This record gives sequence, C-alpha cells and structure tokens, in this order.
Amino acid sequence: MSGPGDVDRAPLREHFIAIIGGDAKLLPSDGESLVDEGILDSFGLAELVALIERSYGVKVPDADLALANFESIDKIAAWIVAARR
Amino acid sequence: MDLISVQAVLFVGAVVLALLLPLPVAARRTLLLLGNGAFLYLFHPLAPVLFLAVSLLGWYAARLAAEGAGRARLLIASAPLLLPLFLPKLAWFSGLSGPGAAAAGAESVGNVVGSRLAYFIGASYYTLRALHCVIDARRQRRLHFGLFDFLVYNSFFPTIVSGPIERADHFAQSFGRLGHPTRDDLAAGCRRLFTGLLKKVVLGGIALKWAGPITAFGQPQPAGSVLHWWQAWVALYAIALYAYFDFAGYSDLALGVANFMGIRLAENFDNPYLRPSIADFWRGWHLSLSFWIRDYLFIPMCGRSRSTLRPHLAALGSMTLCGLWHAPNIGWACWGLAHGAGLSVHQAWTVWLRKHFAWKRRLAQSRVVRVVAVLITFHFVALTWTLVSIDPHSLAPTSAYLRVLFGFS
Repeated sequence: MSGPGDVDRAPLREHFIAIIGGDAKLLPSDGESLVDEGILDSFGLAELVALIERSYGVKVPDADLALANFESIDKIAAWIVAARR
Repeated sequence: MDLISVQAVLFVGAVVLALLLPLPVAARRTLLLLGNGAFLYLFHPLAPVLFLAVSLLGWYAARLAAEGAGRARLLIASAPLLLPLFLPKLAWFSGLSGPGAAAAGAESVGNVVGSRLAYFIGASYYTLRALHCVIDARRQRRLHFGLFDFLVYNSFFPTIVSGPIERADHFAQSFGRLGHPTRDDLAAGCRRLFTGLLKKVVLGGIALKWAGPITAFGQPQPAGSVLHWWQAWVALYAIALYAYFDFAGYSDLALGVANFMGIRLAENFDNPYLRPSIADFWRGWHLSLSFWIRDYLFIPMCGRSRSTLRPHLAALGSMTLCGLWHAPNIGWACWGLAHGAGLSVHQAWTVWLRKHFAWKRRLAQSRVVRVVAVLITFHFVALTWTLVSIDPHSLAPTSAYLRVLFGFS
C-alpha cells in the first residue's frame, strides 16, 4: 500500500521477509530498526541498494550509502520519496 | 619525544593555557596550528614539512573533487597520498635511513599502531584524514573546511600520533568552541586523563609484564627454562589486554586533552572485548579506523551488487588492507585476512540464523549464549594478536607459539 508522498512498500517487505525465512509475522513494524533487530547490516546494504535501484528506479549516490539512511522500512520509503523529488 | 613524559605534559599545558587567552578566533586557530607544528617538530625537524606536503596535496585533491573533476584527474592528484601510508613501513625503506631504522627496530611487541620513521610520525593518521576529506568532497561536492582550518584539523596534535581518525564534519561541530571549554568539557577532560593514564601506564604496564612469554618468545632463554602451555595462555590474555589498555588509554588521553581545548572528539573504543561477535568487536575497537574501513573500502567494494559472494570478498579485501595499513608485512596481512575471514564466517552464520528468525530472537535473549559468544569472540581476537606480537615478519615463531598453546610441543 502507498499513499501520496509514499511509495509501494511491498518489494521492501518481501525482501526482508525473505531474509528472515519467509514468516511475515516476524517482520518488525515499518518504524522499527532493522539494524537493531539484526535483519540489516553493512553486508546486506549492497543487496538492498540494488533492490531500491531496480524496483524504484532511483540511483543511490555514494554519499547516501550508509546504514543510517536505510535503518527501517519507514526510513527507506522516506529516502526513496526524497530521491524522486 | 616520549608521549608520557614531563616534556609532553609541559607542552600540552602550555598550548591549553595559551588557547584560554582572550584572543580573536583567527589568532587562537593560528596558535593551535603553530602548536601542532611544534609537536611534530619535537619528534623530527622534518615531520612538519612532510605533514605540510601531504596536507597541501590532500587539500588540492579535495578541492578538485568538490569541483567535480574527472575520475582520472582526481586519481592522479590523490594517488601520491598512498605513499606516506606504506613507504615508511616498508622494511627496505626503513633500512635506508639511520634514525628511522632505529625507530622501526624499536617497534614494540604488541604495538597495534605499527612502526614509523620519526619524520613520518602521524603520517598514517593525517593521510587517512586527508583521504577522507577527498572522498567526502567527491561524494558531497563540498569541502568541510577552508585550507587554513583544514591544516589545523589535520594536524590537531592530540590525534596526530595514534588517532582517533577524527572526521572533519564531527571536528567542525566543536571547532567553534576552541579555547572555550565548558565546565562539562573540563570535567570530562579530567576523567579522561585519569582513565587514560590508568589504562596506558598502570594496567598496560602490568599486562605487558605478564605478556613476557609472548614478547620474549624466540629470544635466548636461561638454560632449562621451558614454556608451559598454561603460561602461554596467561601471556595470550595479557597481550590482548595490553593491546587494549595501551591503545584505548592513548585514545582517552587524546580525547581528554582535546576536551581541555573545548574540542569534543568522537569515541574510539567501546568495550571491544565484551562483544558477542567479531562484527560487534569492530563496533567497539578503534572505531574511527573501523568506520573508515567500512565507509571508504568495504561498502564501495560491495558496490550495488546482488551477489551474495561479493560482500564476503569485500570483507577479506578491506580487512587485509586494514592489516597492511598497520604495517606491510606477513603478520599484519594475515591478521587482516583472519579478521576478514572471521567477519565472513560470522556473516554466513548470521544469514543462516536469520532464516530461523524466531530461534535467533530466543538466542539473542539468552544470557548464557551471550557469555559463550563473548568468550569465543575474545579468544578469536586474542589469537589473532599472536600474528603481530611475536614476530610480524615471520609466521614460524607464531606457529611455534600456537603449538605450545595447544599442547602440541
């Protein structure tokens, strides 16, 4: 689901659900830190960036390649919205 | 100049007091730059010259990067910056110069920052800071500082010998308060100096004595003396503690002295030996280097690849370079490779564990599991110190020591 000023979060959720073995119930809420939950780290950053660029058609500049920008699904969505502007 | 000496105390005291004088901002910064230059001069008269050459080159490359210069031009401008990182540590180069050879030969066992020639003092650190400014300028198309402030930042004497590799954007946050320490700064400075001296002089000194079987391994021993496996284990723990107390103690002193000037440097250590994984260890050990390696080597090496193999290769590559940065010899290369392999294996385990996420959460909540994980991580890190603390130029003595440690000889 996505509203005005938001993006379709389904590809992001699918990506992280696959990482945690496919059980959607275990995925933290969109506002919770994926880093604190041990789902995302710098090893997984490249794969996530590839997904963002492929699924949302935005290029992630080197300056933004930091976990802090993509810590939660909310933050990732906000970053994509800002990048599209 | 010895960092723990009356001369060093007098120097620090003089600079700190001078900065407290009611001077205009520009005069205060000029005073600090002169103090930084004098600090380098006390190690070797040529040290400030080399610093200036490297920093001017770094500044020029950063300006080119901020202006959007092409990749080839930028590479040509910044490639010479790699020379001061490795040149002084190469054995053949050390052998060519008299005083330098002595300095390199005096490299203490367990010295985690490696050896340097006297006039290359601090080069490993101010060069990495310059490179950080070049890369950030390219990414952000802007400079953190003008040339003068860049020189002050890059030569900041509390960080020049052993870091931290303070980032320009973080340094800039408190640079405006130079010479105006708050009551909190002064209190923090006192605490830091106390804990720094306690770690570096007292605890580090005790640990180094207990590490004797490692530091003296391979040297002629009194007739009939035999190294028992339990003594080897005690020395292993001692050398690990020495590496921490010596280096974290120095970082505390650097942060404390900066506090007295009103400058708040970033933390460089955060209980590294109480971490439950090797990835977590690097979130507690030499943070300024760890983040430099992550942001400027590991993540760029990973690229934007969907390959699951590439981050593992990036971990091996970036950590091997991290080892070679300490000193380009077989011991430090293997140390870096071992840490890269450790990170890679830990990541493979993490990926598997994530697939069983409910179980992973339960494990994360278990105190017993955490204690076991901390012990495994600590022993892994301690064992890697043997690669660089016995004889970093050869693996044979380390191998012999490990055989004693595990009861094979």
